[in-house]
Amino acid sequence: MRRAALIAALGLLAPLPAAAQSAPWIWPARGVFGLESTICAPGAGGEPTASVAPALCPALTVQWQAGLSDAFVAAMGRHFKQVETTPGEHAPPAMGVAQRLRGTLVASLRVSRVDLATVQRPTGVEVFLPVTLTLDITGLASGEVMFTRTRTQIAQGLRYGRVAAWFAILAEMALFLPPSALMLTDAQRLELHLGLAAAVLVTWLAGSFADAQAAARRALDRRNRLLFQAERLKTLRAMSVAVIHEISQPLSTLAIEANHLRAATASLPAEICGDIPQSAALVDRKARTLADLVRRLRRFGGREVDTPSALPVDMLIDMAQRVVLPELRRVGARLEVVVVPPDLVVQAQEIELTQALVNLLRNAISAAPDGLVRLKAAQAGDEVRITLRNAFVPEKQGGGQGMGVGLIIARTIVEAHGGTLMQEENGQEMVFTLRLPLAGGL
Amino acid sequence: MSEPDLLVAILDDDADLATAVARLLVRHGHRAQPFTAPQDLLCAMEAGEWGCVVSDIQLGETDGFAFAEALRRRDAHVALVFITAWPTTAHAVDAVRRHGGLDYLEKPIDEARLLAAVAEGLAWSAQGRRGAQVLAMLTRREREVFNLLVEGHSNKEIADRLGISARTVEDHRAAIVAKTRTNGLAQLVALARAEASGRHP
Repeated sequence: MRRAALIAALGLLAPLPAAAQSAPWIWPARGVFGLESTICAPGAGGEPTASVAPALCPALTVQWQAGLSDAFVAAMGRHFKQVETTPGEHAPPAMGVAQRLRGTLVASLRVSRVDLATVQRPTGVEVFLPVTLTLDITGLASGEVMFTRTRTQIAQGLRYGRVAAWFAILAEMALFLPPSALMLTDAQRLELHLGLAAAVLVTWLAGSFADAQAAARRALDRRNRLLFQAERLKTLRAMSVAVIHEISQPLSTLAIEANHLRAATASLPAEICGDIPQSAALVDRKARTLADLVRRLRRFGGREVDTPSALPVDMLIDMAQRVVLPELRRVGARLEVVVVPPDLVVQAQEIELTQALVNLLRNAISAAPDGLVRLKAAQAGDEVRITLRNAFVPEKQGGGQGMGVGLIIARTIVEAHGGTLMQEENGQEMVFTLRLPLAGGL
Repeated sequence: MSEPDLLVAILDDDADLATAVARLLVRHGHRAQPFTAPQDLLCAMEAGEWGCVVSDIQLGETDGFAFAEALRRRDAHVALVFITAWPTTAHAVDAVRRHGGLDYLEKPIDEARLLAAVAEGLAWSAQGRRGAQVLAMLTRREREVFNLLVEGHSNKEIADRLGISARTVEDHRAAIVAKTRTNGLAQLVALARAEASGRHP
């Protein structure tokens, strides 16, 4: 839920004056925390705030801490443009204290472990130095910790025989100590190792926070876009519901009478009545089309809008399949679904998106001359691509698979989800491609 | 198969639609009459046996469901079919469960479905009325014996329960069979069920 707090923090910063950027200011606190009470220097409280190997106590000098703190501040400065040296300094002096503080996050570094382990090897003693650091990001005004990340870095070294010849290999970094380091004492060397390890760590921590912030901002943007679209969709539906209601009244009478006229005139002799039967039949057919249209539009408009949530694509396809099953059976058609990777997830209004897919499937089922419809879903970069293909014969009269209200509704829904719906006719096949942004990384 | 002596009423504030539906039902062999005002229908119910009412949910100021309740209080054996231009799932469930509607149709109306609902409603109504009529012919004592019989009690048990002799029970039973013109216990049970469903749709 920290992510939610971060998003909330970003949201809170929106009322800042136009000149300010949307990203928060960061004040990296100087100094290294967590060493208040250790085995080297027990604090008044008694409870150790960090776990330190006794052999390393001499290495945790003031200089070491200062060096670590400098590395921390420098790393934060490299990853974030908006860094303050005193909290709240970016804001105009006229701004109230509370608001000024609200615009700043405090970044602090905490040591929780500095350890030493040795392993005897035939060639010498192998030395391991794990260092565990934690980055805490706290809202200055609220005091709430919004982000915290802990990581351990292990510096490794080898000590050959009596001569203090150390070769330091920093895990994952392949950093080597300069040759002059051979002249250092053991204690100095330890300090150097620890310093390097910590520097690597601090850079990583700063980077991880930067990544988290960027991801949170993207999520916020996406959510805002979705909400905006959802509002538009809601208005559209409310309007269409009212119109549909009005239309369905007179249409009800029309449909009944048109059917009656068609039945009554069907067997009239052509010599006397000319083409009256055909006219009546045509009127009836159009009335039925209208009635069908109204019913389908009403289904689109009448529902309560549900809130967007994470929807696995395989679940979406499964639901759509179940809805069209009766049609498949009735028409004797077949739906072939390529196994969908289970890790594809989109942010969607479940009922809407299912409706869109169902509309496309229904169109395909009634259009396919061989009764076969193929459905496939795959990841393409940061979006999911759902393809629907079926054999296709161009209709003699208008109103084939490429048109119709079901398709319009499907497209509206897909676009409201930030996606696209494309239609392609290649030769004898109709292909619909539905693209939706993946919800990954949330 | 329609019951020739039971009427169908169509209630909708759109006069054209009410008339069109009435004529449609007439074409299919029913006796149907259109109404646009709920009060008119309630008055008409005094004079005539109504088997089924097809009613809109929005009737101007009146709520179709509330009207349906009033209707039911007048006559427990009227089948109800609801039609509306504002279908929502909640309403559909309401219609069937609380107000004893047989079906819930959206406009424009599916003719086949309407005809099926009306036919079913009329059959149900006729059955309920028959049951009620028949049972009204029984005396109070006969009614008591009948209730226990259809619960599955033996003559002896009934005699014990009611504090009468087994012979008396047999006499009552013979009278019941004669009045209801049934042929066996199974038919008596069916009669009891038909009458009960009329009271609790």
